[in-house]
Amino acid sequence: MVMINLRDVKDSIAMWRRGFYEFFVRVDMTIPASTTLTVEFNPPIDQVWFKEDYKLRADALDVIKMSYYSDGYPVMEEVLIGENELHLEQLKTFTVRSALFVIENTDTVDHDMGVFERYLVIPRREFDKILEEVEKEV
Amino acid sequence: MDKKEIEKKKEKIRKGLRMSGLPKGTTVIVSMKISEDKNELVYAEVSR
Repeated sequence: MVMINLRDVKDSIAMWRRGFYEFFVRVDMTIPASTTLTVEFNPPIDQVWFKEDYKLRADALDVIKMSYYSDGYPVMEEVLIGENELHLEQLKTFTVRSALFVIENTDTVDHDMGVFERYLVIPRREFDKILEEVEKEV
Repeated sequence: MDKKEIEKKKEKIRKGLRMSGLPKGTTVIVSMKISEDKNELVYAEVSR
């Protein structure tokens, strides 16, 4: 099995970038007291998403716990949000099938949170070509 | 959690949810945990 380095794929995407397009997504939500929400985003079958930037804003500290799974793999698990605005560099990741967020409000009152994401939408066929090229070079 | 409480929470979630910028054809599913092994659907849509 060939191990693929995320950075190699990312560099290849940067080279091909002209053909792809960027999206800016904003999601705001209220999480009722003592409630756990699951939010799942599934890209269209002919797209792959590459998350470039992720900002999270919470109205209170140390009360919201978040987990994030990309295509079933954990990217972060039960992270307690301890800053009002968090810039999560480590969330740079690909989503081919699903991006799943589990958000828990551990407090006894309702809270609001919002996320702002910037990502590249890559046509699936182009993504497959890039993977093939990176595999050849490895 | 009784049924009334679940409905009240679901309504709060629906009212507070705002999404913009998702690519066309994206599926969004929001569900709420109501017991250790059970989630209840709150909101689902395919962006157009």
